[in-house]
Amino acid sequence: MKRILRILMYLVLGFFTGLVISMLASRNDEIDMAGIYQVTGVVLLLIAVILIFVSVYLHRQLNTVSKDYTKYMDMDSYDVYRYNKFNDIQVVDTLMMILALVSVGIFVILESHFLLTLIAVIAFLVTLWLTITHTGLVGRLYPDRKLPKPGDKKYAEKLLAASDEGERHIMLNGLYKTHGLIQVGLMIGIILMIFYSLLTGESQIFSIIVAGVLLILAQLKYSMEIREK
Amino acid sequence: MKTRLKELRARERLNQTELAKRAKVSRQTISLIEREEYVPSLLIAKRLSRIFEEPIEEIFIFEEEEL
Repeated sequence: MKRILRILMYLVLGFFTGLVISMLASRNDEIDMAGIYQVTGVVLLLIAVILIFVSVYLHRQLNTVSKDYTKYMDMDSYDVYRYNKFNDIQVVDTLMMILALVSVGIFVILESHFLLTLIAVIAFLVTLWLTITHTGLVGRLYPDRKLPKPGDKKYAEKLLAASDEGERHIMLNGLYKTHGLIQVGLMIGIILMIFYSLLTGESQIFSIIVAGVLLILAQLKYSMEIREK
Repeated sequence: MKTRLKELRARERLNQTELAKRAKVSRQTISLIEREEYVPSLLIAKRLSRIFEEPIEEIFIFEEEEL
């Protein structure tokens, strides 16, 4: 999984490095942002399609092992394996869905070729279907546990109730770090959007406001939850 | 806090999953406790104490400055 993510990171870094070098090499004062977005959309769509195959492969791998894990490993190793593999599938699903959605957004906004937009929409629908299908995996992997379904009312409360103290400890650590990362990430995002607007002349004011509102809402929600009653 | 959980589990020839079932917790919790990354609640400590027939203070060893 780490290898896949590393390759993806190199792909994205390589793409943007190439883009910057080609922009510098062309020495053109007028930056063709629409062209850059178009290429970005195609690259993101390609990565999303690759991830669809990765997701299906991981799912099949997990299915094969979970049918009779004793052929492959002992009980403890299997518990670690199914937990980590399911986690990997969720990461890949989230990545491919977001990338496909962003590419749809780019093609629709740029009014790109109909076929390209259609492929992106189909890719997005496939990622959505795969993500929904994969959520049902939990029930099959942990048949002895009463875990809530993602569509359930009060999902968070039910999940916490179904988890024991060690699992809650891991979730708390993960969520707290994620909360911090989102706060810093959105702040950096706002600063980047301000600079982007100034450099390109393309107003990002709406996005800056949305990011600001999300930042405030996340902090308010967290403060309300931990407030002493 | 140090723990003898891994040693006691080996003594009883239990794997983490089996011990977790007997202690009514997840294998992850047992793993966390064994790695000394998590101090269990009194309830889990008591369950483990019963399983290994050892007093809690023989399973979990605290440094003087922790107490």
